[in-house]
Amino acid sequence: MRNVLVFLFLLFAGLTAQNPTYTQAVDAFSKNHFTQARQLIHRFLQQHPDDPAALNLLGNIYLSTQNYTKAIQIFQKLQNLTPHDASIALNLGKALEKNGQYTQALSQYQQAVQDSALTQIAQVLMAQLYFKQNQFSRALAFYQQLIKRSPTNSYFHKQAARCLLKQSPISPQAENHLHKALQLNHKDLDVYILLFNLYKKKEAWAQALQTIQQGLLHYPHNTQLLIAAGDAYFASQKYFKAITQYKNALQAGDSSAYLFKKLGASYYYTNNFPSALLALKKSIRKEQQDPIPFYFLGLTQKALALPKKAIVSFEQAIRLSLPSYLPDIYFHLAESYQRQKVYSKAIAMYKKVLEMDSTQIMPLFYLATIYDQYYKDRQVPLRYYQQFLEKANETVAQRYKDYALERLQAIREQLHFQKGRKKQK
Amino acid sequence: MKTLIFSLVFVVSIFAQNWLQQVKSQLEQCQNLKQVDSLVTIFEQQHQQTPKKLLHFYNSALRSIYLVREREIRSIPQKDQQTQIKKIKTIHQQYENLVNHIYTKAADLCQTLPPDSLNDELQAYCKTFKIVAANLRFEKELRSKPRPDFVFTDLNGKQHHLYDFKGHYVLLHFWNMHSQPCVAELPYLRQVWEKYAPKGLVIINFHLTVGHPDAQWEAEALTNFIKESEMPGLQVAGEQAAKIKEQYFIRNYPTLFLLNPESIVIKPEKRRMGLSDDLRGKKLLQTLKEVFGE
Repeated sequence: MRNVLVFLFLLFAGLTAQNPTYTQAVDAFSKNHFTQARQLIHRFLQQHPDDPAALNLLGNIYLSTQNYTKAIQIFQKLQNLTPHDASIALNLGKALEKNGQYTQALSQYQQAVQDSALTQIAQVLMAQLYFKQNQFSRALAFYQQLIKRSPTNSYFHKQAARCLLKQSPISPQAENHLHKALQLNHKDLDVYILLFNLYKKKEAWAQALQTIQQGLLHYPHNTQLLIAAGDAYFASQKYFKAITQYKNALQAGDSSAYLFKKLGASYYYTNNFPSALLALKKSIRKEQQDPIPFYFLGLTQKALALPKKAIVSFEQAIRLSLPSYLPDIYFHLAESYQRQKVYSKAIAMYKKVLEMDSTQIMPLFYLATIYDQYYKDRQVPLRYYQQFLEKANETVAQRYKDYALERLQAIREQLHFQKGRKKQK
Repeated sequence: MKTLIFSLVFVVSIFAQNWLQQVKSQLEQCQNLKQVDSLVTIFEQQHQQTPKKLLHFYNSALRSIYLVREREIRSIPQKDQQTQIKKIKTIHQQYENLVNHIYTKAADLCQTLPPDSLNDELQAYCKTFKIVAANLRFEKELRSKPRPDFVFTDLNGKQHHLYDFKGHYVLLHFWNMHSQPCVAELPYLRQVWEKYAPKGLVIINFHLTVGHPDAQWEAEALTNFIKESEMPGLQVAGEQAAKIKEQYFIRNYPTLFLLNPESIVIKPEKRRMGLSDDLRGKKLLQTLKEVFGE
């Protein structure tokens, strides 16, 4: 790109190009020696203060060194000198855009569009600027025009898809554009990721996985693709395969909190609790505000007969606002309290589970057994056993029903004799 | 000529198979284990000069003995329960003695034969005979002699010898962190540690790797797990743990041995199916309570 720019400068320069100071400045600019280039061009401008080529080069030096205010001043001066030059409008537009003056930048780009030689590049810049300003339909309109002009340009298809996805994350048109982009350039990593995310949103995991596998043929060690493959397997409950992909990503250099979180959850689901413990601890060390690793850490600790530690992790997950799709945390917390023999808290948690979801059955059984074993009042367990037996359907194992029935009868007998004794007294 | 040799070999092999079949049916026709014992003795005397035949016989006899034992147990008249139990115990003892005799004799025989002289089938038999016989020897010597000393480096990099702990009760714990029964054992280990470490109990944990996991990850997971679970005692892992495991014929996890201050195994008193029953779960607490005279 820089070589093209240098060529343009020399072309633009005409006679100026024969000046040694100017050519040295262009040479320095091409080698990214901006300070030297600026000093040389200033020296040249002392003798030729209104030379358009020199001013254009100076403007570009300021643009490259992020001195946008000065770049704008130079390009404006140049525009006054050559008001109909569309390439200056384009450069001025870029400087204004970089300086955050989007409206002025757009008006410069619109001026540049008039020049047929610069129409496409000006349209691209306008589309990008609209996209940056979250004006996705306007950006899309430009990309659609660009696709009409150059239907084989994969970048335009990708960008059109991006605009559509911003409007609707599962847009079928976006899917078409992305497929077209892949047909035109099957090595565009972004397109694989965009298409994967689209299928992920649609929960079309088979297609998501297929997309990622295609991407991995070209980029076998790309961590983004490896993690995406792991996620696709994870969502399809193929946890061993997910672990392989996550570990490949780990080997390829990713050590993010997200990677360890998913690896830990996958290990948990494959009953490899020591590995789950390690991965989740690593995730938490990197990110302490995510409740999910704490939730899985609690489950893992519970499975490893560490109820005290599980309670701490579950409570931390709740403090960090665990998403509502994981309400079973209260059930696990209750069980952990029960194992720790903290029955009052276990009772409170089982009641919380019932408050959140009155269709739950097993909390009734556990409430009944705790009250039965550790509390004097016989009426309470009796009530819970009754409720449990009323609700217990075919999903509940028979042994629970048998036990509840047996205890229910025993408590009734006990109460009957207690009544009799009271009467005798 | 070739056809003639082939036919001859075939006839011989048929004859050989017939011989084995005949012996097998003779063994299986026995009404009780005493009869089997007599048959074994007779066969051993008759075939001292043909050791390979004897090996085939031993292998076949092991299968038949089991069937005879089952038949004998079923044929016990159903009178009072006490007599029945006594009779069953006697049969079990006879069975155990006979099986032990066969494994020991067979392993000794294998030792005398050069391995090159054995075909694949006999080599496989010998491998099993030797393992079982070694295990039997181990079980026999386990509670009568001090265990041999061994050296190990714990996970903190410190070197120890088993005999460094002479004068202490030592609990050898062979385990694997991925095994659920091993994990279930840990709360009990923590309890005995809390109670008996001040009285001189030493726990040495040998973590045994199963399969071929990613070595680096496995090592990190183990260290992390030990820390998280506050696992008591000295920790040994890797190849050295695997070598020590072989000395103790470990086939199941967890397996525990309690050594007295002279390094003699005092518990479990007898391993059934390789399981150390009296050192598992709540029984571990009970056993140590007895050992420490509480």
